[in-house]
Amino acid sequence: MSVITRAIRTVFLLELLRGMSMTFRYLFRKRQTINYPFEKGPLSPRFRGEHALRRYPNGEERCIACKLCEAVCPAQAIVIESEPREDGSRRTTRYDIDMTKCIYCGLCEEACPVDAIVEGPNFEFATETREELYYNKDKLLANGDRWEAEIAANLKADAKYR
Amino acid sequence: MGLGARIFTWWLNEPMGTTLFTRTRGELVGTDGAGNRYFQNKSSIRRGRPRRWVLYSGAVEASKVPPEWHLWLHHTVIEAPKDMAKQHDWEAPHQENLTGTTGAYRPPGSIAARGVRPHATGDYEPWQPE
Repeated sequence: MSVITRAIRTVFLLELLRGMSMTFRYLFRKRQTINYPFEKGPLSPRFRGEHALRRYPNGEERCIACKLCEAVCPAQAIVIESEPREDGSRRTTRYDIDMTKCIYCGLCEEACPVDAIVEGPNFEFATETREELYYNKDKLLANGDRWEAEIAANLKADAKYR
Repeated sequence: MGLGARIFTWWLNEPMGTTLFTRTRGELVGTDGAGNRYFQNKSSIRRGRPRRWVLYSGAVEASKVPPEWHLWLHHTVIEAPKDMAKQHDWEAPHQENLTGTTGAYRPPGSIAARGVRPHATGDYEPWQPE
């Protein structure tokens, strides 16, 4: 590049103008953004969001404390303790998930033999403090009770591919 | 809410452009139990899908959408929900994300909550440094 060409580019700020023309062209292109929170992006039935513990249709909690999810969890975010209940059935006394450790890989729901722990469709559970993300069994069961309609629909939609 | 109040407290409602688009092109699909109204426009295609959107009743809060409409709004299903009745008696009504309010979830034993954290029952061997 000759000295003169370089001097012209420097004096007339040609690179800047090229950049601005690129910016200007994007004004007339089709918008790629969506109007969140009014519009939302598409979600698959397999989407792995906030965890929930499900119940059987009669209201009995599904989790039998086999601890497969605890064993498979690569982030070691799940802590389970169990005892036989008064009626003799094996249930958890503690089911904690540290959502700050969880990497949302979905191995827990794949490991679960009774479809108890699932990753639901909700991703809007951001919190202001860390401690609100230390979920215990009551919180997980409450999530399941609120989201059951959608969790069941998603599992049904995905069942034929499993 | 008058136009002046709309302009000077713009953060309480949806933007004016969204209101205008809803009035001119929005086709009301349904309303959920909390009064959020759901719209779609079949002729406005975004990435191969008709645009669907919601106007919230009260404060604009993304987590207000209940699971039945959540499926529809996120384009997981094509049909809008017809039957909003819960299938089981143990199912709970939807709740928005309560973080930042007094109703927020706190684990037992937290400073902001009552109760004590249950002690570990010791069914595992804690690691001890040598």
